Amino acid sequence: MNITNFIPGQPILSWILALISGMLVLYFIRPSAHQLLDNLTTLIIQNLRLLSRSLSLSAKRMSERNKEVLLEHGKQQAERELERQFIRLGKLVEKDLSHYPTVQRNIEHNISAMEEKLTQTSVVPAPLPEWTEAVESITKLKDSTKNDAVVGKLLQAIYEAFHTQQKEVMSTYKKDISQRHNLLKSAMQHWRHLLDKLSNVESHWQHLNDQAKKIDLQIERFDNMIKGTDKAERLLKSSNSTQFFISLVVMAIAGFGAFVNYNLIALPMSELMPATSQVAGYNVADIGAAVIIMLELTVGLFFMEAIGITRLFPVIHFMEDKKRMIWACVCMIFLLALCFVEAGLAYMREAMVADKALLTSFLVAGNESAQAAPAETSNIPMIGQMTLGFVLPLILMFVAIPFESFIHTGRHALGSLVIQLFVLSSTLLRSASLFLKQFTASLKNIYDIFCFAPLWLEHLVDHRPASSNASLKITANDQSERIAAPTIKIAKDDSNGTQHKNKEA
Amino acid sequence: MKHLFIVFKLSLMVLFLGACTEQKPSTGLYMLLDTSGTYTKELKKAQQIIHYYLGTLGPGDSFAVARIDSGSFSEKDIVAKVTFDHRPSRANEQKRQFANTISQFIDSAKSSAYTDINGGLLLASEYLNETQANKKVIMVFSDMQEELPKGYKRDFSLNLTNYEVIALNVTKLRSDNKDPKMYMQRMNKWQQRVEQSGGRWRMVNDLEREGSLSL
Repeated sequence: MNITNFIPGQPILSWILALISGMLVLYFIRPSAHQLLDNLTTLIIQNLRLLSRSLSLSAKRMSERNKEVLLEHGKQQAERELERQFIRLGKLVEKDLSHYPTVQRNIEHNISAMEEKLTQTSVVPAPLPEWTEAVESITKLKDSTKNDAVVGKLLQAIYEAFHTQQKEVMSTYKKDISQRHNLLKSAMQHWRHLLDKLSNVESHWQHLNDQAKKIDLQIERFDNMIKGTDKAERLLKSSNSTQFFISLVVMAIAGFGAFVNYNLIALPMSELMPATSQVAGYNVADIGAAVIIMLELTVGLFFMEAIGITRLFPVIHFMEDKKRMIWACVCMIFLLALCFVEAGLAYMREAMVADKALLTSFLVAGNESAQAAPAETSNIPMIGQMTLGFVLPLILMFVAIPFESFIHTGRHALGSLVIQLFVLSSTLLRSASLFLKQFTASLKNIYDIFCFAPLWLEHLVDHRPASSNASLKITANDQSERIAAPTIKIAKDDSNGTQHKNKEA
Repeated sequence: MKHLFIVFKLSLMVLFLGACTEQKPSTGLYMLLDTSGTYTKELKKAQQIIHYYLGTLGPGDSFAVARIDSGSFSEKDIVAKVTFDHRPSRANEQKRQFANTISQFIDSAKSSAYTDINGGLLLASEYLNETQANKKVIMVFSDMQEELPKGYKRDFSLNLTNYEVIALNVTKLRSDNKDPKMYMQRMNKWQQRVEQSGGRWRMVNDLEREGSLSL
């Protein structure tokens, strides 16, 4: 039914009637409509808040778990570093201590040699001849003219003999001194030797001291990790992120290497595997090439594990040393076999490419042209491809190291990312709940605009001068009800709010 | 017990992979060469086209070349046919042999008095059905003017569902020059015949245009 036909022939009046009716309907259902909006909003807001809180709690729990994982990884790393330091220290001590008996013998030998030399230098020269006593008695003779001539001659003879003797003694003494000097000189090399040995010992001790200091630092770090201090966590976080990105870059490079390797063997694999079969839309030959590369990576991973560079598989890591070495040898044999297979495939690839080129030239220009094709071709590409085929698997073997780092650090990096996402989602949900709250209030206001006339009239009636006290009483009663019954706050608030707005209007 | 379970799982995986293995979509190409009248002179062009497809087709694909003569519905008219081996090196060898056979045929081809195109099409459809190729293409290297000897009936219905029939190098006859309507009627007749049999019709006259010979 058309609105303009409410009152036949009076479209304007019909419109006015329709508007008034609409307003009245809106006015009468206003409390219910407001209640409905409030209920719906409360429902959605509560759910949003619940979800937000749940995400926030999950983020917190994940953060704690992440911290545990980080510290655990850090502990493992620190343990490995400590182990390495202790091994280094042990080797150093073993190496030095094994030399100490020799050094000691050497020092003792040098000392005894020096003692011997010193003993030799301390030999007392021969005593003076006994005639010195005779000279002494002659000097005691009394001075008399009778004896002058005899004494003079005697003294002269003694004097001469004395001089001769003195010369001899002096020369003997000089000779002895010279010999002693020579002995002392020869002792000098023993001193130097001794000094050298002692310096070596000192440097060894210094080295040991440095190692001990390093171990002290490691122990301190380890201690911090066990205590779970913030400093340790910060250090680990920064170290973890750096390692994660480095391993990511290295793995990307290795991925390109694997791609090159794949292209090298994909074509010749079609000779070994049926080129007409497919699995999930991919040629079986291509899948075979990819599987070979994955096998190489796996064997490389096992080899690195067996020689103790990585620690991804506890079963291999905790094997006895002998068994582990056997395992490493087996892995290396398999890897080398795969290397040879790849080199062979690279050779086959070159042959296939040449054959294809020959066929193309035959098809394009006929049999004569194919036969007249240049017979001399360089072997360099073939050798290059074969070398690549042999070397690439061995290089790809080292991807185990960044892979291990990626696995360990990726766990934390992924955890951090998820935490950030959870926090962001939680914030967004909280914002959405706030927005919804304000939006509902705005919707109610818009609703009131559509029934403004009855509301205005209600306002006028409520604010008649004669009944102002009564209305105040009603408001006071409302207030007391609101205090007494907080559970119906929204409905009461709304009615009061509306009244208040009406009053303001 | 645990090991047995692992072996069982691996066997299941292998079986699953085996079950997933499917044949690569293959192409079956059958080329009919018109040897009637003066069209024999055009066979050198046909040889180039055959060489082009020998270079394009791969392991698992099938290729056959047959001549159109007075009565083409005969295996004797098949000049060469091959399904390429799954090993590329063996496939290359097959291609060489195929090319040699075609070369010998073209050098020694003699003109036939009549042109039995329908017989050739029937033979081609039978051959391609046997190959079970996913994509079936029949190429007719002819002026598409059918002339049958007395007593030959070719009013059978063809089943060319999922076939593509390509008319190659359709030269204009002297009579076509006098009345082009005859040429157009002839082409329309062939198109209708192929499409009513469930196939797709295509005509390629400019052989040097890029992509014109793509399957």
